[in-house]
Amino acid sequence: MNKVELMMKSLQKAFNQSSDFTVRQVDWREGTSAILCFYSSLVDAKEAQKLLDTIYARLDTNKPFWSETIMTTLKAFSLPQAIEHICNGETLIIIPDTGEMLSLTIVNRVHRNPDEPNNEHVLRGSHEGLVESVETNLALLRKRIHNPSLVVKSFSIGKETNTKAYYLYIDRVIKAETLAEIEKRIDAINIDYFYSVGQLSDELEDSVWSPFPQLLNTERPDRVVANLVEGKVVLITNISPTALIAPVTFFSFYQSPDDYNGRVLVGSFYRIVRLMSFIAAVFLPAFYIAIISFHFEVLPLELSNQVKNDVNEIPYRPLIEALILEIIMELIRESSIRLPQSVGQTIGIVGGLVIGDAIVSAGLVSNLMVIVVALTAISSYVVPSVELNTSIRMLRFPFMVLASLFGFFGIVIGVVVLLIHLINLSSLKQPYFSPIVPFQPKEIYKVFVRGPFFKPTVQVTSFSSPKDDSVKNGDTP
Amino acid sequence: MYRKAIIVLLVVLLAGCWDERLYKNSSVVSLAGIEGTMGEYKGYYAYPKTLDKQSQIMLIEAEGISPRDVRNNADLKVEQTLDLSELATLLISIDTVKEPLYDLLDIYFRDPQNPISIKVAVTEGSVKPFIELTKEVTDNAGGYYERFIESTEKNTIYPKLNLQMIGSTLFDNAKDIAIPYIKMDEEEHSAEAAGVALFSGQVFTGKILDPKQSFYMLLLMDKANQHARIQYMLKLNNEDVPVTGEVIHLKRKWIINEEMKKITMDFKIDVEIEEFSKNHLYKEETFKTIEEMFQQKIQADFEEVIKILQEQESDTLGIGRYIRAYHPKFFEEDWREQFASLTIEPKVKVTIIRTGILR
Repeated sequence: MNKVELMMKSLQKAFNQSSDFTVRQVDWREGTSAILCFYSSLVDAKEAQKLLDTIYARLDTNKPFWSETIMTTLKAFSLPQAIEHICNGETLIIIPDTGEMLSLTIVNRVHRNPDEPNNEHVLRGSHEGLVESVETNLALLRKRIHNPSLVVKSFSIGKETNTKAYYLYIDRVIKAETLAEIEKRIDAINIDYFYSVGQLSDELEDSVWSPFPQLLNTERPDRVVANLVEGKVVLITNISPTALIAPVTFFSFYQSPDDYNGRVLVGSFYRIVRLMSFIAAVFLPAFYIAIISFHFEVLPLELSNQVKNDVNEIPYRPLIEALILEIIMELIRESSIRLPQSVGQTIGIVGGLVIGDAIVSAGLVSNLMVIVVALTAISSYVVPSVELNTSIRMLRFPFMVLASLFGFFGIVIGVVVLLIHLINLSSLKQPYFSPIVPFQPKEIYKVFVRGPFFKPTVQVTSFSSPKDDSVKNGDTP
Repeated sequence: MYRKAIIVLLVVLLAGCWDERLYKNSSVVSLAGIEGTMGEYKGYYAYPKTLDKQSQIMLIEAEGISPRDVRNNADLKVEQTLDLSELATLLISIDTVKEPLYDLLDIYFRDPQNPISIKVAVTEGSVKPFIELTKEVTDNAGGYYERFIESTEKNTIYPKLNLQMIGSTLFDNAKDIAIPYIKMDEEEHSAEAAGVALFSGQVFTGKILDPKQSFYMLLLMDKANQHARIQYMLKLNNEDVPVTGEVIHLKRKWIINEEMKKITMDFKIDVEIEEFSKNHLYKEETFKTIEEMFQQKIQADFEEVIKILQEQESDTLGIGRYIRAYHPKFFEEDWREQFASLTIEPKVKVTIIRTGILR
């Protein structure tokens, strides 16, 4: 058995005789032979063949840099490196005589078009979306920032899967401590098999058990860029269109690209509407329960007759009544995600008409409760972020229980606990509830109003309020 | 640790149920009435009840030795809990307030669940017909009288009052109250605002000011509300002409002469003419005549009202408070008697500042 055949055997063995792994003996310079090996599933065969033809044409001319093109490199051969290259989707030509290997980087990229993400529609502005491929994503971002200060650093996640991932930031805008912190956390990642962005965000979050997301997920390149210029770090992986952004504040979840695509007054109005919706989504059912079971004297006299009529014939306590409807609501939501779009409308009819109307006639819940729950559901969907949306919908259940036990007093206790938690929370060790804690009077209007766009806002890095004027948020480049 | 957690949880879960009052288990009373005398009170409570989606007003009657007792007895007759937290109006019979008023109101102040921003009115005779009346005209008994009283307040007939204000004035010996008085119009079978009942301290004086007089009393108090219309039949060129003026501004100044025990009240009233069916109002001459006639008539009415107030020893104007604050040496402990003996002299100056959009 000659050297070439031996090598082919050992390669086959290294790749566990996988069916899509191809090893072939090919002719090389002056009667010698070389080994061509690649994963047929990863390589764009047509392009690879074209490139190979070019290399063949150069081969016999004895030019010194015959091997160098945009997509090829020549390296000394070593088995572990060869395996890595092949796993990355490169085509490898191993030349046993010289102990070299030539790698052709022609990867058959499987990804869809950069369509607008379904969960982050905007009315105006860019309709591009990130896809499940790092290279395309980077292209979408580089298209927006033509500047070498946009730094892309790669790392791999998963000891076994070796998934490609990148973190991006803008040099000189990002604060040194942010960068140090994210690098520290990336180093500390301990995942064997990486297949979901959730794994990454679990590893990177400050408090995994908090109901509030501390990383902003987005599939929109314009949102990513807006955050980059605010001095934030963006993580993208090769397996998901989701970009993770950190550090973020609670209020960044309530901002949408639409705010900035539209005009100042319009953007501000809808930002305020969205913040109100947070209050409605978390507190409305609790408020209603508290009124019905503790403090009905706050109802205006004109309304009280009507409410009393509604409530009188309901067999259950207000909490149970609310839970019945809320759970139906969650069921409808959950099922409508799973259902194919063609059947989706059926759920709308079943949920809206049949359950909504029939449940009242059946006397299970009162008319007002239907209004309250519907309003709550609508308010919770106003949040432009899916993560926060789900956590908000979860949050209202403890509030409902508190309200049914202690009325308004219970809601107040809940609010206090919630605020303490929010104030304590950090994202990449930076205050989550900024600019309210640490209190920055000059920045606070930005929570409610989208001012004319002059300068991006940078999150403060410490929980103690900045004393020096120059350290305040305004000093972004 | 585990056991402790369970105990804490149980305590927390139990605590809430003690305070719970489910709306569906309460009969929400919006109108309450009381009559009778100490030892034999009679109370009425009106609450809405739904039968076949049709809401109607139910009336509960109960007797008892005290207002609280009446309420407890009434509760015995209701299937649900009687709840007065949404009470809008309290009606009291005129015969009952001849005894100290606070005896009736005490339960409303002692229980934190009772609203104290409710309206209070005194009725002619028994309160029962007044409460029964609401069955026909509204499905919200308390709201009917609340609106009734509020609209009359806007026309400056009733003083702006609620239970809390009444309660705090009852214990002030330098100021008295006048409570809205409602009488029954037998022919049309409807309630009618019939002025105010004058109180001297805790008890009703027995004198009721008619709506016109109570209007001038409110002007004297400088409490003109949204609409304050002065109306007189004036004799112009030997012709009777009705003239209506709306009070726009009212400036009041009290000058107290301690030695002569005399109070001079200077009133400057700016009016807008709202009704004058004759022509040539703009003429200087007519203008002046109307101003002067208004002046005299208002002054006469002011004097009449002050005379009644002094006779009844009912200082609803709060002169006592003013004197106590600015002339403390002049103020005597037994203020009401001193008030009756004072010489009070109103002086009115009327200016017509607008004549409506017609000239």
